[in-house]
Amino acid sequence: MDNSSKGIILFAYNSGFDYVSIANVSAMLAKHYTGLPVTLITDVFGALMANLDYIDNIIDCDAPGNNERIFRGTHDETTKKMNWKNLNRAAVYELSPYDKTLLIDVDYLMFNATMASIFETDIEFSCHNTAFDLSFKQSFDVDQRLNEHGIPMLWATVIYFKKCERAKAIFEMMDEIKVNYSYYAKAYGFKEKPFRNDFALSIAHHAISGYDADQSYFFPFKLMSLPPTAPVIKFNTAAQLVGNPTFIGELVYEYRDNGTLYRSSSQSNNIHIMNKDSFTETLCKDIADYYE
Amino acid sequence: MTEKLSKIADAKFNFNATKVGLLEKIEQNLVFTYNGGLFKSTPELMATVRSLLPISSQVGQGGDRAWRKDHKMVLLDWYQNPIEVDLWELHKKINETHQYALNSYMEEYSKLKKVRNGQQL
Repeated sequence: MDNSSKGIILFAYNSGFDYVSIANVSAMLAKHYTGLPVTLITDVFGALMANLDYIDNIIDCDAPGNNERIFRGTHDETTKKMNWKNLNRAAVYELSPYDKTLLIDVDYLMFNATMASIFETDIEFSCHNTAFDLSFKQSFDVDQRLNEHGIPMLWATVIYFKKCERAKAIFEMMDEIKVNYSYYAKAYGFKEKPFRNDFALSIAHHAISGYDADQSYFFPFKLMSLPPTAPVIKFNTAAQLVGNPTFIGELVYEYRDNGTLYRSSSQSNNIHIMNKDSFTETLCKDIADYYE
Repeated sequence: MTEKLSKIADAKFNFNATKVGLLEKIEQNLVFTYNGGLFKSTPELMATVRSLLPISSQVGQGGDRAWRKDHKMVLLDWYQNPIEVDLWELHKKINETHQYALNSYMEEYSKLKKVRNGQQL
């Protein structure tokens, strides 16, 4: 009998985008599909926001430092520079109140229960080592390694860990990399700015695995992702007749290929949405109305 | 026609690309956990477990009763960890998971085949 406490953690600090409201939608879906409690780590401004209906627990923790990132426009070359408060992700090990934790980005929406199964395993630490571009342009092929001849890149979008020495060491090393990011950027051959948790995780995991490209404990499926150029345009429900007769949710999105506009659906995949403008009030409300 | 309406009408649907996305989802549906291990219901695993079951039981003849009482074995899970399994239980779980994943694939594939334009989504 596994008596360990289990839960999901999200980090959200508003800066340019309303990440806290997005976290609320993400929390609702995660709770629906895993049945587990959700903790939000945010600052005092986030904690004071109304309608955090799906958050079971709020941990007040200020976001340290500034990290600027360029966000690209949806269908054009426009860009906007915004503060990206992502510097304290590695603190999750100390902050998590759970023995088994699934850390997800707020822009990762669950539409199926696959992630719940990871809690039933004895795995100590897991994350994605491959991402799939749902706009079918293989845009993440360049992200397979930190540089052309570098170590394999891992994705920090979804991280599962048990409280154990290995997980603790990986997060401590991520913190160390953050402090000395310029050095690691030169040593591993990537851009110094902005700070990316994906890179810190990749280096830390590689080092803690004995400087070996340890392939053992990655999720056995890809991180399904919509790149910034593929906005979500609506939420759909579709009847599912197999298994328990029920309705399932999916997102309809658009992408361009050689100038032609295509529309496709996410097929109830768990999905990482990189286009933050997709999280409109209407979309969040439609999802909330359906799952309530 | 406004630019917005025109844009909607122009949205194409790429069946083959969407099918690839659907196949990736099936990969997720094939994953299951058993006794602390994580398995993927692949044809290879299915065949391996099937081959370990006594032949007489496979053809519905009842099998070796003594062997049936002690049908625990150690198999490697997806992460190459040794997991003690009950062959009959695992066999059932593999079949159920595989059938569920492929049934939902067939269902969604049939729906996709009917889509002619992105507007229908």
